[in-house]
Amino acid sequence: MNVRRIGAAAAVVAIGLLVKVAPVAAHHSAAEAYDSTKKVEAQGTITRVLLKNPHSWVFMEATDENGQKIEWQVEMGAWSGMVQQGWTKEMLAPGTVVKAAGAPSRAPGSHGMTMAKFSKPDGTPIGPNSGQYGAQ
Amino acid sequence: MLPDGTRADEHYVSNFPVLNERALAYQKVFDEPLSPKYDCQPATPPAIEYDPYYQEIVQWPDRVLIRYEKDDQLRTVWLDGRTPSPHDYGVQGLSVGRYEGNALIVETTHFVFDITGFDDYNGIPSSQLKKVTEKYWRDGNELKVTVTVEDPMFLRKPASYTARYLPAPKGYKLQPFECDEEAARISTQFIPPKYK
Repeated sequence: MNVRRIGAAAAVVAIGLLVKVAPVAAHHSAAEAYDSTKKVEAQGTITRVLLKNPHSWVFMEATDENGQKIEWQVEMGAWSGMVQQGWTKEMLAPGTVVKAAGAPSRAPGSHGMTMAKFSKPDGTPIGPNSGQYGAQ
Repeated sequence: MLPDGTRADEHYVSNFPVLNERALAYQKVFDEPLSPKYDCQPATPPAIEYDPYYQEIVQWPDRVLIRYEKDDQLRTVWLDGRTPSPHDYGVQGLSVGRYEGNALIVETTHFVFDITGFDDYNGIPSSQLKKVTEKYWRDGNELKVTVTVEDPMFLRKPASYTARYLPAPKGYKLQPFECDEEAARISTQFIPPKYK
């Protein structure tokens, strides 16, 4: 398409983005909230999901080392992007028992996770990319 | 050294913005949960151009429409020679453009002040004096853009970068973004508080 060409009808071009050079880091500042140098694992029952933009969330009920109930909040990518990768609502439905392994949240006493890999209790990956969500 | 503290290789050319003292002072006190993105405030140039979502460009005789999946934004580039006025202040400012040879030149001013208007990752603000100049041109099957940002309130000199876009899959239609305010703000609780 020549940029100057203008037809009688509007010229519609859908363009996908692949950035080759950018002067500053990407739009996301996950490093403030999560420590990617550490790894945490949890097993629990999904109680709720938020399949939304800018980020989807999976809420899991688990127990801590003292047997106390805790809620893990697992951050995933934008739902619009996850769908393009092959994720479906059924893969992480409430009531499902799952394992999640990822980077833990930084705030003391919090139970957040990102860069998570999901699997069934027997280790079978859940979802595309061997259970690893594709972050955006 | 790169902005993230790692060592750059021999081919690296820095184009990180040169911040003035005012911008550095803002960066120092910046607190991540302040970022408007956590309440679904839309991204603006220069960030919206390199956010990894699809865009659609439509050329009309008197304007070019750039629609972004990210934050469901529409920027209108007016080709009729109009001059922005104080009535035109907004998150995306007002864009005027012209064709030069095989390129579309877009100049955008009248952005509202934005505490992360230059870059939300590094907490670099942009002022109402921000001016963004974009040059779009085709290079084979790719669309390229050079983005130059001027903001005398915060930058000692203009900052510039070049990006390229690849065609979307055939038949792809832009998807609604519909930022969810709850989903946007959840992660802020995981940021160790900077202030009490």
